[in-house]
Amino acid sequence: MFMNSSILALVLGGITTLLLLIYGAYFGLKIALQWNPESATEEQLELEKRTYLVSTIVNYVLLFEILSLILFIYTVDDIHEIIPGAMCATGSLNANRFGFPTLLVKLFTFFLYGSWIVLNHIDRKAEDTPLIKTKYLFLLGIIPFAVLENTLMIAYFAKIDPETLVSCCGVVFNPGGKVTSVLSPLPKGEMMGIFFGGFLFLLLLGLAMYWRGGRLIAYLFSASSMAFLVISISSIISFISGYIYQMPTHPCPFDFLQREYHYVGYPLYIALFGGALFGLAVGIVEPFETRYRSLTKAIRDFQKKAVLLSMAGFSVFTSISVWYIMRFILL
Amino acid sequence: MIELKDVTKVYYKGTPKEVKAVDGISLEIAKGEMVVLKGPSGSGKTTLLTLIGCLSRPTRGRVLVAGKDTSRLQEPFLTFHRRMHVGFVFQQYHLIPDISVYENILLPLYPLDMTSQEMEERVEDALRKLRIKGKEAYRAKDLSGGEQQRVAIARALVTDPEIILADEPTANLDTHLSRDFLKIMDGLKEEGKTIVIASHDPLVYEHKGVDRVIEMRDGRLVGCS
Amino acid sequence: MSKERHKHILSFSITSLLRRKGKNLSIFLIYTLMVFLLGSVVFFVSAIKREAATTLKGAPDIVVQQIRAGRHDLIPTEYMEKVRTIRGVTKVIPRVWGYYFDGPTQSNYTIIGMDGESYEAFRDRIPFLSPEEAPIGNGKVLIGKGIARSRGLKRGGHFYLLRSDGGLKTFEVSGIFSGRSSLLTHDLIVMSEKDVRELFLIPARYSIDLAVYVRNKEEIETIARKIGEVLPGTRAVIKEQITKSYETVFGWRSGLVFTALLGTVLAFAILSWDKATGLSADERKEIGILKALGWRIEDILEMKFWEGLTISLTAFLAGIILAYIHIFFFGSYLVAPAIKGWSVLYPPFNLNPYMDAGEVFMVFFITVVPYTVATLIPVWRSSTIDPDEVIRGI
Ligand SMILES: Nc1ncnc2c1ncn2[C@@H]1O[C@H](COP(=O)(O)OP(=O)(O)OP(=O)(O)O)[C@@H](O)[C@H]1O
Ligand SMILES: [Mg+2]
Repeated sequence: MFMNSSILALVLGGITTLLLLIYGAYFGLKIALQWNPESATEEQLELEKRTYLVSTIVNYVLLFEILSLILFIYTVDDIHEIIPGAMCATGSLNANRFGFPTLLVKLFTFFLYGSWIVLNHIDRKAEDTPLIKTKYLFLLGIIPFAVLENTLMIAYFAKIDPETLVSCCGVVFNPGGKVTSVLSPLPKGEMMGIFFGGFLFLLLLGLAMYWRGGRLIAYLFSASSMAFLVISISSIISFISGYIYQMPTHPCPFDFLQREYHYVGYPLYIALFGGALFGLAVGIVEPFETRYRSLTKAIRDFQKKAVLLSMAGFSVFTSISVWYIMRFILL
Repeated sequence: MIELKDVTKVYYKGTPKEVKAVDGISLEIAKGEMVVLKGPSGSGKTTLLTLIGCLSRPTRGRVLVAGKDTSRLQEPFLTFHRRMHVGFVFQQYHLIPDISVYENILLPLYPLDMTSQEMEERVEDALRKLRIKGKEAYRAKDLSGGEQQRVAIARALVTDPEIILADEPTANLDTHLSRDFLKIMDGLKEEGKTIVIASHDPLVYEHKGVDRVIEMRDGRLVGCS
Repeated sequence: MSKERHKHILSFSITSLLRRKGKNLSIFLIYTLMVFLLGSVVFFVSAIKREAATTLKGAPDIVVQQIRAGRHDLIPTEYMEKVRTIRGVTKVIPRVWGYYFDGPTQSNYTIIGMDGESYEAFRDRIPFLSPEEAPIGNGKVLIGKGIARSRGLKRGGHFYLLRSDGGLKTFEVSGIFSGRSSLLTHDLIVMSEKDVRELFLIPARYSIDLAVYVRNKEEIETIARKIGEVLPGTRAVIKEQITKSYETVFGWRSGLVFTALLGTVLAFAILSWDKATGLSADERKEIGILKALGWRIEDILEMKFWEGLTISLTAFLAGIILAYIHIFFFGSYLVAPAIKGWSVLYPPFNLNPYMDAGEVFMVFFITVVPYTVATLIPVWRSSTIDPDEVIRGI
């Protein structure tokens, strides 16, 4: 068991957020079961008011999730000092088998909350709020993941052992390392090809979505942006981070969040995950476009905005990366 | 412009305190009409105004305002409809006492997504129309009753609504100021606004600009002239 | 969704905050106080951690420096013989070391030269140096994790440092200090004495200073005075001994913050809840009026959000700045006694100003999240006030 103030903040913050979410989901369930738009009873009016409580809660839960992700990365990086062999967050996360799963589930719940807010946003645009049951049941479905997230995180911190030697990014991400086979199966040159090719493909798809739209393109764009997220993270490990550190053999995806690298990781990751979330949103709302007439227009408008935002996010990410590559090549 | 079909509003439904504030009222008010609702205290005038003004929803029946059925609209849409079409002048004016006249008139415009310049023009217009120019920097609580009411009217007009609702507008005014108020209403009627006033002040319901007086008792219509 | 509406609602929120100075000032002050306390503790603990690291790096009981023209100068190595003859001195080690500023990474390295005996002594002082670490000499060096990280070095890697005359000198990494000693060795390079002399161009018969170890700690002051008598023109500097290791520092850091945290944060959250729930009749009426004038629930929620954000950010900034000033310019008067009582580690020196974004963010997280959670439900409640109820003046 290892404890310091930021770990404490993370755990308490996580539990508070979880309780808040359960409280919200409880009313969500009540709304889903008792909703009756034809009635003007006090109960119905109260339910209508409760919808605002629930959406306010989820908005804040998403915000806290983002803050807690940042704090988590900071904490994990901070504690590398007490973990032998760890030189950065990668090493710390490797301290036991809960580290990376915690991070992954945290990212996953980020997308869940984001999707819920998108659904809610769309639903609010129609006077008959047709998604009311769908969205509150969906909210209920998020709870297990929120529980899992916090369980993993607590297990991770609880199981950190300052005596065990761990392997860090040099070993983990370098060719022949553990994670290599999953995240960067290809040599640098080919990875670069896939990254830039994927980016161009996504832009073309995005433009098609913006100008033409259509069910197939919407799903394709959505799926591609998630795929591009994965490609981007592999690319960070494979070559982008190397250019940022000006040290092609240093493949760490966390170090550039630090002061030494002017915190460039934050704009980089915010743009990347923002782009991915908006990309995902395009597909999330698609099934309802034709099912509910009252939503059709709102969804079309939203998708246009989301496609633009998604492309903007990915473009910012790619531009920053290209800037670092150019700097390395030119200087 | 306004149409009520068999509208009922019940408070504390299903409890011993149950009150039928409005009971099965059907009513139609045309565009450009000036109508007075008259009746003793507790007869349901204010309740009826809040229904017409999209401040609340009926328990039963249909309310149509500016061509839209508002009786089952959820809060955001109901409010949205209200702020597009209705201006309300309340019985006790309900200005925010600690802020300036100018800011009070601005209040309805804040959520409307207007540029600051547009908002300024609107407020200037309203100030001019109600002859309160020069008072805009005063705090609302430093004004006289008549001036406060003019500010309240200016605030109701600033969104340029087609429908103006006023609840007991002359209750706190002397005869002279009441006449002033009616003059302002006449002017608005000329502009084509639909006006509904709840009042049991003879000065109001005997005013010559009034097209119709509707009498209420115990939540029902009892007469129309 | 244009931005105008947000701008207007924001400006209205700020004026309405200012209108209710009394109520908001009290919450602002308590908020600030809490950020100040937590910030102070976090800054203080991390500053001590850093100071302890610097001091521990090679802290002998007494350091003898040559003074020339009022400044620290190279000391003739032969002086050690005279010091060694003083009663109570167990060991005198002439040290060659220095600071090296690395332009590209904007960091300062500490470079220490060691040979035989002094290397042993060093290893005694830094218990966490992993035993397998390779020897030094002939350009082979041990480096700290910070250096390894910023330069992307691994064991067996090569790197250059600029000599004092501008030439380049190559080094080979024969070992990197392990994670647990990182506090002490983060930006440290340990090389042979010969290599340090080459790097800094120190003449053979001179050292930077003499490290003196004393048998009986009570005698330190007497011995220091004697050194001054034996060697006029030198200065004997006594450093408070810092005995506790890094983990102890860490231990009380967590312990202290833990207690400070739970109590104050909880009390603060309850207070915020209470303040947000207790809407005055005036405030209720105002919200009712706004809603009657066409503000929707989400507009009121937005207004309350801006209010909360304004209070949070201003109180947070104020608290952090005060904590910073308190710790680094006013000697940590408020938290130091508490910590002094906890541990002998209290350092008598001034703390170097330093602010880490992560630490500031952590304080942000543990203050803003509870405040937001505590006010969330009361705020929602107030946004759903029925306009017609308020308008009737109930
Ligand atoms: N929000 C409310 N909750 C419960 N009862 C209400 C509410 N509003 C009005 N009532 C009741 O409904 C009835 C009608 O009230 P309303 O205010 O409409 O009458 P009114 O004609 O405007 O009276 P006055 O001339 O006194 O203003 C009254 O019995 C009142 O007590
Ligand atoms: Mg009334």
